[in-house]
Amino acid sequence: MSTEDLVASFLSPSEQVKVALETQISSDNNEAEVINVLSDEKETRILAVISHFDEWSMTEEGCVFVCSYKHLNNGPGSSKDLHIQRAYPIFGRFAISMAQNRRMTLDVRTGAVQPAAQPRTGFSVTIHDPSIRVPAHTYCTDDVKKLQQFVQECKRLKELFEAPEKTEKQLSTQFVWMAPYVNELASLSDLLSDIPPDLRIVNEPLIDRLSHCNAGLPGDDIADLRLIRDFWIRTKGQELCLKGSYRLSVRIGTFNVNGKLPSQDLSTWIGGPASLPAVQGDFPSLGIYTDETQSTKAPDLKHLGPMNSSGPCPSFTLPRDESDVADSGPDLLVLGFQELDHSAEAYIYTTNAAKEDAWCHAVIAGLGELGPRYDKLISRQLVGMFLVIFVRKPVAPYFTDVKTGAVGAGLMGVMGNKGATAVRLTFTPKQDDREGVNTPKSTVLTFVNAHLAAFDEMVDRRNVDFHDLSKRLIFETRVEQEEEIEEGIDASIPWIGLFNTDALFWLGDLNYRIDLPDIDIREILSSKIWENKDGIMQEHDQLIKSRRTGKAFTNFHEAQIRFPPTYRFTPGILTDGYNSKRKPAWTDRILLLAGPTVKIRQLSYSNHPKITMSDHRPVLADFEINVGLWDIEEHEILMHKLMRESRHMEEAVGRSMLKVLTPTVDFGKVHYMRPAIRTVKLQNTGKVPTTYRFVPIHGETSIHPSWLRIEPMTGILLPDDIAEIAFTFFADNVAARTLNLSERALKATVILHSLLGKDHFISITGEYQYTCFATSLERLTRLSGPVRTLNSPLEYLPDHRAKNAPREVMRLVNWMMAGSARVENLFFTPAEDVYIHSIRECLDTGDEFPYPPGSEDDRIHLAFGATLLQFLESLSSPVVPVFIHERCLQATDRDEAFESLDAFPSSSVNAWISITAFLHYICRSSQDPVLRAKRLASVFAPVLMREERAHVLNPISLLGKQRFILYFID
Amino acid sequence: MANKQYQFKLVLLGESAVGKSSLVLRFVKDQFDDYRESTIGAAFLTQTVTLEDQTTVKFEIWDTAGQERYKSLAPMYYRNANCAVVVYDITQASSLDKARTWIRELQRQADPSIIIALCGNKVDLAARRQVLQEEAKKYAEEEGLMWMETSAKTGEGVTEVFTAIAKKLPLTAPPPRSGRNVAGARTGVDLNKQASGQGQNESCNC
Repeated sequence: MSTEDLVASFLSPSEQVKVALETQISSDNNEAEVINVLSDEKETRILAVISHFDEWSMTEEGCVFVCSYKHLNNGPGSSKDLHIQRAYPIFGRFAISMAQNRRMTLDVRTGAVQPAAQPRTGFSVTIHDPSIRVPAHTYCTDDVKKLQQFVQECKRLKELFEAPEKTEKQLSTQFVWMAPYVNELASLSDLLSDIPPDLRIVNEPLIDRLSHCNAGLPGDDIADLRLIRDFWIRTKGQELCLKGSYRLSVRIGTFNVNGKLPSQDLSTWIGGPASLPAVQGDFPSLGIYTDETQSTKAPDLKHLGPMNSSGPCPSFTLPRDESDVADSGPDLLVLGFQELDHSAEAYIYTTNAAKEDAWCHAVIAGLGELGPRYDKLISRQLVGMFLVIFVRKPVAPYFTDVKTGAVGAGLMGVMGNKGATAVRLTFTPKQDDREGVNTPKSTVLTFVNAHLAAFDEMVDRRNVDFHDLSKRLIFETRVEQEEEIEEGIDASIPWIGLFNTDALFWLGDLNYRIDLPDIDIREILSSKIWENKDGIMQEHDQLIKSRRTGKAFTNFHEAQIRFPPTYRFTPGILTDGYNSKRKPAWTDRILLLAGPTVKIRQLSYSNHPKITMSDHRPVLADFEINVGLWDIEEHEILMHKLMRESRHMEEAVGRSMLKVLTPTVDFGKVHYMRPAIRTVKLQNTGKVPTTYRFVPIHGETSIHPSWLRIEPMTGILLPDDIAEIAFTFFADNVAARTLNLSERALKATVILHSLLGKDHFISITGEYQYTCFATSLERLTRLSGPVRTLNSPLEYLPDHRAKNAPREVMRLVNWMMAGSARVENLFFTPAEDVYIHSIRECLDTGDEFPYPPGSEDDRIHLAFGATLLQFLESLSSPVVPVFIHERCLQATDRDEAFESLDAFPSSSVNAWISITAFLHYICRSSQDPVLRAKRLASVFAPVLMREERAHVLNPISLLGKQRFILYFID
Repeated sequence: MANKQYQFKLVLLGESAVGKSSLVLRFVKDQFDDYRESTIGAAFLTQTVTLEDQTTVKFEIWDTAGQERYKSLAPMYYRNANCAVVVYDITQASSLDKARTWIRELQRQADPSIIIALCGNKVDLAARRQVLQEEAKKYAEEEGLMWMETSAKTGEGVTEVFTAIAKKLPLTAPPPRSGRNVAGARTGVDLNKQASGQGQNESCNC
């Protein structure tokens, strides 16, 4: 294969290779090689003159590509590969200069051309880019004949461009044909950069990053194409190159020390929880993370990303003396301190070495016999904020390129009383560790220790602080000119953003509080009555709410908190007693944001009440980080290959090559809370790769109805590829509230847009099975029969014949009246789904329950209890409407409480009375009626008097609600 | 001298199986397929017509699905269209009724300046004609539409339809031709009009 043919093999058909000249990079070139030169080919550059003829304007344009060879050096069958390194459009200031230079040395290596046959002279060619900002590059060649052709072609194309009749051309049309190649160059330099992409972008679903468009109004298909392609190449590249993973254990702690010096043994904190694996089940790994705080869980959808695939990839641990039981500590110990120094000078002088040293010594001492096995790797202090990382000695060499940053966010936005310090580490597996991985890819870990604005009402300030720190915390890069020029990386980036990392841990005194009345928090904390007290209070935690509403820490993960608030205590006293001056709060937190190159499992999240020297209690979390192992060279070659495979997509204009093999999806009978999955198959029947995305019908609406999920929403199909898209029906409470009032027959159309091509319609049908859940009490009292017997969802009884209470509530209560009272843990112990489903089905159909009342089996009773609670939670509006909550809480005795029933809607009164009467009945038959009543009231208060999340600005006291219910059941 | 170039959005509407996709295929690629699968979706194609004065008109053509079940999606494709070709099958009387429905809808819902051409396809099957020329022509005249008969199979009248439309389009303000980004370039369409039409809600779309 000639050099010309080789170059032509990776061009679009509309481009022609005029000359391909083989050269060596010049020794006095500023394009110096940084890699060890193993063969001549590493220094070889092909200079190719490419011409493009545009039939529309009948013009010819040209460019010069500088290409280099790449070899996959394992195995004899490996083929040569050319990568474009540079592209010069031939116009304007583009110029070529030549010089004859005398060859100083002879090539006498074996296999080289006989010394006598080697020409004594060579020519050097220097290419000057049209843009003067790009430096000129020089190459050497002996091939005089080709060089002449090369120069002639360049001259011809330049003259052609400058011909007077061509100057009228619109500038926008010039060299557009080069765009794919230049885009590829830009994409590849992004994809191959050793700076990871921004985690905030990586964690946003790809479909949300694409341009806005809808049916009939395509967005920017070319830009979308590039985004989808780059995502595909990145994902696929990692997937195919993944050789295994390294397991790193990282322990992270945060402690606001309130200006104190260490006066206690820190081992109870940094020594970690007594038994690690015991809590594993509570902390799902990030790859399959579902937010536990959500009331209803969606089914797990297929996740992309290589680290989620459970392939046979081996997992490696770092050097550790397995025989030595003492050698069991984490690889990294990361500790963030706040308020290290309260002294006035601290605000002027940014570091106080004495306090730093005292704490570092205390940490080493706290590690006990593990202490001598650790070294301090790095630390960074800014006034009171001090972040320090200790590393297990044998793994220290794996961490390089350590950078730190610090930013103040307090008074005037610059003083260091609030703010953050950060450390960025690069983890690189050792080259000699694994066979087949000569140049292992690095992984970047970043840690932020922050202290955000204080006080209850300052939640917005804290959110602003977060965004401010996110923007201003940056790391300086060392500038290595040669490397950057060689790889085509933009040398003008002098710093790296905080989020350009593979994993970001954010710890510190974030100062978020709980939006509940002070008395509620103290009562709930000290009482033995409240079940799931942490869960109830976390509903009102400002950080969790900010995260959920996207105001700050969007896409960050935090394990469920299963420890009491860590603030504010009276220092030195070992009790659970919170200081009376501040509302107790979970101020001290550890959060995580990770990309697809790592898989992280959180093993623990705990507080440490024995460390009492401060007004805060320290918090600790253990993580297992699985870092992917890739070979950089192999990865790079594969990326180029994938780029080439996915090329020509731009040529797809107007050709319909994507075929939807399943244009209709029928879900059949579908039920509330029961996912149903169907597969839609696509095929690329054309000859070039094709890309698709789903688009909304109208600009304002979403792509699909709320009961439907589609995964994946974007994709690439190479010629002949068949792709499967999962369509999942899932009716949660929100979706079911609409479905219950709609036609039984589901009908929807979704639009799959092939980029630069057709819109395909996929029609979806199904038969929804009505449920009495997720509707209103009012509607249930007006229905002529069980929901499943209705012909239409709007088949109502006339007003005067409305039921006085929903039959579904009465059926549940009646069943439980016969014998459930004896089950002491009714409503407190979770029940089995299979029974709950069957009870719900009977409520919907009107069938008899398959379980006789007064059953011997406690599990059945628990299931009835759980069904009642779930039913109440699913209602579109709570039994007690939000607007009368305040009035209810004003009741100071039983009579007033009963009087407030006048304000209840008629459909609620009887449901309320029958439920509370039943609760009253089971309390009376209890051994400790008062305690049981309080416990029941604490469970039913948040359910019967539920508040929609949007209205919790000024929450009504939970204790007040509990008291109100007690007037009825005690 | 540089030629003047214009770009316009054209939408094809009409009952299923009257030959919308075949008309486009004949116009864009000069091909014909006896057994075409019915369109489930909307295909986007472009074709350029050069007029006698060397002006070129580039059509962005949306060929839509004719099936009744997808009727609700049609407005997405005819909004902002500068011209519409409503097709019926001369061998199916009912298809002209359907065409009338489409035309009524366009007159009510589409851009008021839209140019509508009524097109009777399949004249190669004149032996089985059910729709008289007079009848269709009279209707077109009443409604102020362009009217002609075509055969996608033989090619008869196809180019003429599009050329006639091109001649009737308001060729003012020559928009520049804009490179590869065919779909993104919507010259010939008044973007401001679209923005004001959607009113204040536009901001949520950004």
